Amino acid sequence: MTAAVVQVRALCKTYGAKVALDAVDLQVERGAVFGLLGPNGAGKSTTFGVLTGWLGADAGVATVLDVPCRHLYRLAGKVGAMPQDAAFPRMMPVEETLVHLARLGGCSAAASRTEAARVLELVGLGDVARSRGFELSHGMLKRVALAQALLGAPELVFLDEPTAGLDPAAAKRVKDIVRALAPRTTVVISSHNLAEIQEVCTHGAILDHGRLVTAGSIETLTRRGAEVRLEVREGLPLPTAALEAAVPGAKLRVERGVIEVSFPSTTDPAEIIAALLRVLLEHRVPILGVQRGKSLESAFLEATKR
Amino acid sequence: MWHSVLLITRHELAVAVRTRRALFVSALYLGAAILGGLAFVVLVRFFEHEVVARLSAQGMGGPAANLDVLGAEAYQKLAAFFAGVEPEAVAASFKNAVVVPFFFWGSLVFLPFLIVLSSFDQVAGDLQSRAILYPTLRARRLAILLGKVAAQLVLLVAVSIAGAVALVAIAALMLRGFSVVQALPAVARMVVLLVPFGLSYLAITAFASVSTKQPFAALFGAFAIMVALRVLGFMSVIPEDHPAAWLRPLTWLSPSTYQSGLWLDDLSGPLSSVAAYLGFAAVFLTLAALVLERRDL
Repeated sequence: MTAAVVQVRALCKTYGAKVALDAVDLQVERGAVFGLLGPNGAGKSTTFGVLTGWLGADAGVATVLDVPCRHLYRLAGKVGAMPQDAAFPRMMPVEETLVHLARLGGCSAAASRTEAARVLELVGLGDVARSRGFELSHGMLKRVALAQALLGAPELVFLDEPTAGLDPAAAKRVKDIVRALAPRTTVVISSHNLAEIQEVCTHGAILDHGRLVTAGSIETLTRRGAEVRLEVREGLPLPTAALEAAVPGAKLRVERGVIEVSFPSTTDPAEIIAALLRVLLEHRVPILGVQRGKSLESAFLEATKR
Repeated sequence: MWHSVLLITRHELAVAVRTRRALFVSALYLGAAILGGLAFVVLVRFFEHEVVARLSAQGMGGPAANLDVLGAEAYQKLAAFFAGVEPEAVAASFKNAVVVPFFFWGSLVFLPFLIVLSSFDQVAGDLQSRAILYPTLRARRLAILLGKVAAQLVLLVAVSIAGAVALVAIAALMLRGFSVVQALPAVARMVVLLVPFGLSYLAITAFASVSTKQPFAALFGAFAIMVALRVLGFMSVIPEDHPAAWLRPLTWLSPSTYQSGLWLDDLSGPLSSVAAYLGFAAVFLTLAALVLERRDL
């Protein structure tokens, strides 16, 4: 088995005349929490659908744990997925549905009951095990859907917009669960919520118009190892020449009270920050903030040219 | 895969028990069977009394008191009327069990509609709500399809047996000369024959159900296929010297063509009909499986 648990090569998918995926290449390493990002219509839901085997690709190769995505049932119990908008069965007690899904995933009858109870407790819904689907709120059903994805402690979990529609406390619980899953479990998250992706993901890919724009670690995407931003009081004269001299080989850009410094990723950002702060303090420039790299939102907007 | 089929069948049965529509359709079938059977029994009993009364009026009270109307030729002709075959060709077990042929005839006529009404959304409903996404990571789509169809088949058999038992009970209580022991082979034969018959219509409905995400489009599609197949069954009425006589063989593509074979005493009749119904089931289940395997969910 390769280190990559998800491999996608030259993946294409069209809906009539609309190209949803155009030769997408992607790789998710074992143990990563991988974020799929993109504006509406970028192709992330289609990518998610192909990876879970719910959608068929027109061309290209997509494998999960070395199995073609269309046959993920062969990995029963090793892969879990939480679809965004799939209704959870309404008439059955949620516990019964979870037991059924756990059994389909390869658990014994007794282990399935234990698993159902475990995952419901994990998402904070142990007390509604006997409730039927229609008796639960949207947010609760969302958490039940997350619970079913975690049945049997899978090696890989796909989560589509896992916190959409959840209140802040429930969203935090979901993010805590995701953090706790890695690195034993690889997680692939599709989300619009860039702050959430930046918070919980270790890696990510940005899609736009069905194409892969960029992919890599969140550190790389946000240039945390190759860029620092210092916010100073706006309107004061800045010692630009001294700053440039302090960080040879780096590029400085000053705009409306923000000093952006790009440098080779081989350089230690701590040294760059220390050198810049020294100069600014010497010249008595009021410093309001220091940030490594840029926000994922900025990276996203730059990558998608929006 | 068969373990998954079994698990899905069990789960679908549990879901069906909790679904009001499935219960409603089952109750409708049972209610219609019991009421229809009751009416039939009352009618038979009326004739029984009429015949005895007339014979008594003619001074034949002794023999009339022991008259076995149920075994009379008139009743056998009635059974043949339901079967649509010659009286002597009807299976002996059906001739000996009043109400069972009536119930069998009613099932052959109405069961296809009840099957469509109770199972048109067995897959389409899950496709529309996307609930089908949950099991597809854990079981083959074919297993999901077979599990759902098997659950419907179990329900069908259960309801058929329940209906037949109710009718036999009514007949035993209301008809003199009705023998439960004599009726049992007919009931067993009927239930066994209804399984492949019902399975063929379940397969047709399943094919319609996997072909669309809209349950009502599945309902319409299932009825459309049934009507189209029924029309093919009428091709046999085209005279052999008619220019369109080349269409006559199409009648073999209709399930209705094989209904009369189910009534026959000669085993080759029911066996060939059962084979035909299993063939229809296999064709439509294969088509349904191919569509479900290839479609986007």
